[in-house]
Amino acid sequence: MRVDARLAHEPFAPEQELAGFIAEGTGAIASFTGLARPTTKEGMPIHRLFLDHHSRLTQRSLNDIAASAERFGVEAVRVVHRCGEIAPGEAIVFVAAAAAHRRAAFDAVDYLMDRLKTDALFWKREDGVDGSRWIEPTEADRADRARWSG
Amino acid sequence: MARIAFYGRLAERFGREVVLDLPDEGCTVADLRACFEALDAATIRACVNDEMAGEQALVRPDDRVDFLPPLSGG
Repeated sequence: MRVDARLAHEPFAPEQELAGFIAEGTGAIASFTGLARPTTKEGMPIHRLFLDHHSRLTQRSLNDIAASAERFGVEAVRVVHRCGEIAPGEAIVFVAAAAAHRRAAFDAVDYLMDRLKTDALFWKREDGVDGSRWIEPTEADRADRARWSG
Repeated sequence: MARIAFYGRLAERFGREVVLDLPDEGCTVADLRACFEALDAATIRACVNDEMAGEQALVRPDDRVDFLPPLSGG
């Protein structure tokens, strides 16, 4: 399996990531792109997101999570995850998987996103008009992650 | 000198890094937690020299310790 996991310190273009991944892949390709939301869950405007990271362990966590998609028998995966200051509308995360058939590609992308939400070494802060707050995994995030146990 | 690093909300509270002068024989992760408020072992994980470490792991004077609050990527 080919694994490409990258920590992006600057904005990246998910459409270019997908185009490059498609050019390398065969069969079925699934992808997911996460964008920074313009509002909090309560609907208040967000000026920016800040994603804190660890200078070595964050990249290691991306490598480990991406490599663990091998359980789905996919041929290749790509993970790109931003860190630092992120403006609303900018891409935070891009995940893609290539497989011989679509089900494995869909499952690998779904799995990778659930792992990234709870296991990648990032700490997310929303800076909005009503102040700043650190985001922590919700019970729903943990439940999503637990779907892949066992 | 041991370097103690903090992330996320902990970095806002304590700064990114604190340098501590430890005794030659070192101390445990649990001992270090006791030096700071709000480092609950149930939710804040510790790494010693880039490896996850338990409460009784030894921290030597030249080690680096990272305290990691709950993660939120994706």
